[in-house]
Amino acid sequence: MKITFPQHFLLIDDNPLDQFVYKKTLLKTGIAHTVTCFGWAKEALAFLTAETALQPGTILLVDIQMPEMNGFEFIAGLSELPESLIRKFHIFMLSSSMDTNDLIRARQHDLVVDILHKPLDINHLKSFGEITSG
Amino acid sequence: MSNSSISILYIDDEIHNLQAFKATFRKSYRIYITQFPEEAEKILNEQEIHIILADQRMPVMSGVQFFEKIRHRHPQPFRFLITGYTDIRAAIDAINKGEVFRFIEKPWEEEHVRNIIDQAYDIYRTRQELKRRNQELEKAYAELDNFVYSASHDLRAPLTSIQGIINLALLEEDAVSQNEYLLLIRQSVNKLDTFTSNIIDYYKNARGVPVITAIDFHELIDEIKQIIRYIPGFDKINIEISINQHQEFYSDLIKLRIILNNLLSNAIKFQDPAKKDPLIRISIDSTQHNSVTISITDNGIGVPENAQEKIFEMFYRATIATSGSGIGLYTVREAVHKLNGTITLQSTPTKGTTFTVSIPSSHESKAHAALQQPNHYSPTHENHIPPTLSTN
Repeated sequence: MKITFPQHFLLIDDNPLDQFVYKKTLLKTGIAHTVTCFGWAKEALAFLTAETALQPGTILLVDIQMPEMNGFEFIAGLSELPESLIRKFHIFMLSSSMDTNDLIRARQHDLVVDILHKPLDINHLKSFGEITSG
Repeated sequence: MSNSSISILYIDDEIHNLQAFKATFRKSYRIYITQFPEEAEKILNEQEIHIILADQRMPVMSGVQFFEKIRHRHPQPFRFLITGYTDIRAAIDAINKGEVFRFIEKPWEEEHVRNIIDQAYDIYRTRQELKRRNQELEKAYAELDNFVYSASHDLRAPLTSIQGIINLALLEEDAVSQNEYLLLIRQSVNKLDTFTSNIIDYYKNARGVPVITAIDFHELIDEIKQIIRYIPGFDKINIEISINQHQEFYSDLIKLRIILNNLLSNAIKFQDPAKKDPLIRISIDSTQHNSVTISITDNGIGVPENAQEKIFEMFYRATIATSGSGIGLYTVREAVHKLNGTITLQSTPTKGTTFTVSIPSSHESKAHAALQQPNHYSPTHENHIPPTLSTN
């Protein structure tokens, strides 16, 4: 499925400051309809498990380094969900350290579109899809 | 040199040779003797043997054959071949197949045998030491990798946050909202500042030479109060202090400062906003047995049960902390261990947490520790214990 913007976003990041900044940036640049933030990967996973009315095409931005459940553990949990649900969204991972092993691991993962540097570069994110009007 | 910790196994079909050997060396070394190869193997399986002597001419198998047989299962001991006559074939086999360290010619001279035993044991010990240090180094490397991985994240994360804020601020047209972004940048800068201070603390603690001085706990607590008063939430919390010190207590001031500073900072940071009367109770008791017991009790948010074992681990964070570096309690535990003390935790979520630290006065404990742990002061030995919670 092609990535199109503007889109609905779920942002999973333990840093409240980054949540605030990225939410505002995504909305301000007009590539997001809505941004829903989660501080805990577990909460996000529970939300997605219970969610049936998820908009197709939703983009998940997942920070790698989080306490309790990190980004990779979150994706592992996600892959247990029904195929029909997984196909509804595109996953990007976020990293501030850009560790080589993380990079390889993320790029090899079927469910992950790509890994993005922090701070989030909106133009780079845009290059993965196309802008539709309306 | 006579060293009763050297264990020697001697195998010879001539009982008289065995007895003569044992009579000569039994006061200097621990001697095991046998006439039979099977029994020799049994001894090797059960005892830690440093040196094996074998007679070349034995009826069941030759000395070289015996060495060839046991060499792979018991590679550590040094092998000496005793031979009565010069046989070039036996010599070649001994070196190639038996990997023998020395030949001893019959009749052997006591002084000569002593010398080569001591020589072999020196090499044996050096090899063991090398092996031990190698293992320590591997551990240290693994921890360093972990450190670099986590530190690179924790150092870069606040910077990338700042970059994100700047990008957002530049999208803003009116200049008034810039102040709001400056405040956010300050948050990130403070976080980075805390993290770098913690790293510096960790290295001071891990690498620094301990300086033992007389400790005045009243002074120490006053000093720490000056530091922690800048932590957000300090003004909301009530701190009760009781100090009971009637005798001299000696310790490393830097480590005590690290311990108290971290524990008190945590108590302030993790206060429970739902409670009307946030409280920290510090009790310091140094009246008994040249030791001090420090307990710090708070009525904060507490530590979840499944996190209690992990919170002393490096870079473990139990909560989404805006200011936690995951290194504070790890450094605390390292510091407590370096002072030969113990730290325990009791916590109930929503009720509060008590940390109890017991530390012996360092003048007494120094000699004691050196006796128990010969490598106590070696720089690689102590700093890389895998992080697990000690409750003893």
